[in-house]
Amino acid sequence: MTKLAIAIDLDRCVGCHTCANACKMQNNVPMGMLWNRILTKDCDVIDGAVGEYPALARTYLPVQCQHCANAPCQKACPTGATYKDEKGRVEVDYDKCIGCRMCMAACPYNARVFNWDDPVREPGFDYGDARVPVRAKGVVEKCTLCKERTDGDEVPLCVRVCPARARIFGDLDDPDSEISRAALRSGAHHLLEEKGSRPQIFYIG
Amino acid sequence: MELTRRGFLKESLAACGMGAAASMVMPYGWLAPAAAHAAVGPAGATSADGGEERIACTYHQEHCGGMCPLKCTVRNGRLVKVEPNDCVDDRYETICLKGIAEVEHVYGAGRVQVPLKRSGERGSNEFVQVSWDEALDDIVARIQGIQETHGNDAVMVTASSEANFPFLAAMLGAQTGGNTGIDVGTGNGLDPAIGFGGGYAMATAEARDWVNARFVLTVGSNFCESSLPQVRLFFEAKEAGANMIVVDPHFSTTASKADEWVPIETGTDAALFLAMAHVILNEGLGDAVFMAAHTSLPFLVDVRTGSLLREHVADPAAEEPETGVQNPFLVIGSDGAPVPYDRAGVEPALSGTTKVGEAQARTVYDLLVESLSSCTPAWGADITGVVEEKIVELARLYAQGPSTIALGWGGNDKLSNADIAGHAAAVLAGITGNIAKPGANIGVFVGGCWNGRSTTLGAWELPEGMEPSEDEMAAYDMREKLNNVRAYICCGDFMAQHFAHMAKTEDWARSLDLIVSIDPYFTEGAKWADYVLPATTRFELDAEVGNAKVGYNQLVLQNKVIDPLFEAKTDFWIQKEFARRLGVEDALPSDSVELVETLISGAEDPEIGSLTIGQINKNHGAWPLPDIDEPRQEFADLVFATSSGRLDLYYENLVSFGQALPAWEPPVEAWRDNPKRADFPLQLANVRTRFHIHNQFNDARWIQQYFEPTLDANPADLEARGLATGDVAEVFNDRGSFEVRVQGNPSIRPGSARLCEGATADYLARGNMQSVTNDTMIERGSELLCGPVIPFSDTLVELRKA
Repeated sequence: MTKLAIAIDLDRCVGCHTCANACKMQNNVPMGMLWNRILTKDCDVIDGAVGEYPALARTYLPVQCQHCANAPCQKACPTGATYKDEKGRVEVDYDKCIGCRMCMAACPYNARVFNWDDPVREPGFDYGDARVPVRAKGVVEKCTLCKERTDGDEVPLCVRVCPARARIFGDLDDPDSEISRAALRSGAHHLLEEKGSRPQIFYIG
Repeated sequence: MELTRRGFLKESLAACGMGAAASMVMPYGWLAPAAAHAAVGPAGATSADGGEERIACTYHQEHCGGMCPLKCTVRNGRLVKVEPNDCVDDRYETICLKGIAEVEHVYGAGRVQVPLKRSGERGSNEFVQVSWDEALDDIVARIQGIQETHGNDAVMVTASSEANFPFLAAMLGAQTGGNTGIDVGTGNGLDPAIGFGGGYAMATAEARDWVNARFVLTVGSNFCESSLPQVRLFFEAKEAGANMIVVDPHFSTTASKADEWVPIETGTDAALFLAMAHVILNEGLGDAVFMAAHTSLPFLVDVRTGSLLREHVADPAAEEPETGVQNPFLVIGSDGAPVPYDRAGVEPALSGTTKVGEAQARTVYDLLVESLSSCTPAWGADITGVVEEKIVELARLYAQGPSTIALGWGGNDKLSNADIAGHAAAVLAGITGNIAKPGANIGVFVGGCWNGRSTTLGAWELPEGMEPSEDEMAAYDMREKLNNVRAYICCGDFMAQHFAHMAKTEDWARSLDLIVSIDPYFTEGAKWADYVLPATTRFELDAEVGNAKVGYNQLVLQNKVIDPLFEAKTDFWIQKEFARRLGVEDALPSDSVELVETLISGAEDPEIGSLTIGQINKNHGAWPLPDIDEPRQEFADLVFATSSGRLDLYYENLVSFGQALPAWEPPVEAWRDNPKRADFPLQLANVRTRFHIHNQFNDARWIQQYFEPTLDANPADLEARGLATGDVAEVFNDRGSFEVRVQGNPSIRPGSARLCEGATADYLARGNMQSVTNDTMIERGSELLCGPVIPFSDTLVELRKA
């Protein structure tokens, strides 16, 4: 079996949003939506800090679809549009999506976005990878783990572009892979562990 | 992870900034008429596939120093993807959010689409569309008229590093703006000691060398934001065991990623360095062998005049100062008598007194010890706010070595006393020998294309006599000093980016006879122009190649990615059209391909010089420079590029200012106890951000998703003024005011406020940040290597709810 995953090293993440922009470009994500967001943890402003000057800490927290092994979105989807594929990725069949947004309510990570209207793109044309399907009004979308790239030998574009080399991509079912070793590092953790969703995006550092 | 509140993740989407773009005021809708957009093409297809695709390689910004080699995908003639180039070593396969944002930015509403002519009062931002011929005919006719009456140097041409106008000033015989006063604060003090860095404090090695250091002390540099393409080097060093300590008034991104952050009072870096030097000498931690053999510390100084004593009296009428070889400096030899420093077998004393002729002489070392005697850790702690124990600890760590000092341009560099900090940093390196050795280097490490290896490319030879005029003075001085300039051609936003205290700039702009702005984007400076000419971006060309540059350890080509958009023309085309009207068209290359061939074939390195455009493009537009397997290391033989060949820590030209050796002076305005603080209590830091490069990308919609310029201040400082995050505040002082949205952020040092560079009126609630910035030029500035630094951040302000 294959279980594709990404590890994000929070010690290395500098919160630069390069992954977020790369994701937007690769996947032709419209304005007003992001599949990949960089939060400043526990802060209400970007690049804020926790604590009082000078006793401060800051953690950047990139959040995208967590490609959960036990995906709440999949369970909530009434049509089977959201499915777990043979490589362990959570995907959306846009033709089956009826826009009920049950999956959005179910996702503990707020990782999904919805095309409430006809998508608006700036620039005013489709950009990114030509293999990526264009989503219509009324469907839900989210990180596909760069399906069109990872169907082959390419890594997701967020991994490829990360200036700090904070992202590790690989197959958790391959015990010799770098990501399987990363999963064993002390401090490796998931977001909202208590939800039992068993994400395949995990964080180190 | 202790993330238990689902609300955290839910609410953070809004915090991450979708609101920012909607709140932006976009005043330039009229610059993007529907007809012009049609030329770019409507969205058309509902499917992204099916179009003709091709790949083109070019490079990104030199302005940040990244010069990332880019792999661009073009579909149906449009730029649809920008990725790292995959043809070179992984280390150089870099990109950041700004390079990717170009997919929108190139087509963005901020582009100047057609030539514009001013129709209202200057500065009123009223223009009408004109043809290129109409614009260029009138500009050239007016320039010729001005030059006939006032002389060739009545015209000034300045170009930013993103513009490519190598011929324009020469063709016109124009002035070129002189000293810029930007990024030269620290280098003014550091570089004369080493004879390197050009006034910009360029580091003596690459950041790749940090892995060899035991201690990297970053001071006044936000490397993890301002040098994103090289940011992995910070972590490679940290993971290799280098102790990464960051000194910064604010909890910067770099501070947050370091092993330790040492908060410091703004503008006091020099005092920290001086106190560290005191500790090192006081505790005997210096490297006496290095000091005696490789620095000017044993040199003898005439106690009465402060001059360095030489073997013979220099001829005051000599055109060039004598080198150390021609007229050696004197030291105290083993018999206690003065002796030339370069005599074979001489072992100079660091300490001692003697007589040279009638002159009473002391060593530089003794003068240094004396000048540092009062710079105790307690003294340093009082000025810097860094506790004594920490100063002592930093000094001991630094002395132990190998240690590196990583400086910057966006922090202390913008304070009026930055040269003293640079000079004091040189002293630290000199007394410990932490220079030009593995892991022990000094300077600004930001930007791969500046920090890596270099090679000189060829240049197109213009006919004899076709050259710029001599600069009368620095452009910033022209605002207040009598000068001959009547016409100003700005290739980039000089009005709002290059000068502090904007009211003075505006008065000067009103007084000029002609102002021309040439830029792909409509900038604040463009509002002051009589003509605004649309240049292409780096992605648009009318020829196969447009330029060749030395990037991060490689030669990179600017290849054509897409056709010129709108009515924009390349910098080369614009110069050619000026040349045609001036009757000197033949003086320029026939096209940009011929120019690029000249740059390559004239390269200093024979391997680079033998390359063809075709060969480089077979290698995807990038070609590695020789010997890049090893990081660049200057002065490995410990022979420096100074008059004496040694690290020269004594600046004779600053004797009359009391700065022959670095002596603490507070910044002119933003010092802690300045009585002006009663009215204007907050220092306004004007810093770099990952989201912009100066004013560039202000208008990039994919950047606006995350960021708008906000004034960040400590929540306590906001609360004291009745302000809260999201409020619009007026920022004011006795120079002017502007309005901006504020953010409470505990990362900001109490008593200060922080705003990114290039915050111009279109992106703030009202007015320009430069309306309040300090343009005081220090008296000793004229004696400094690059003239005085413009102390943009040496600025005090107050806030009130707008």
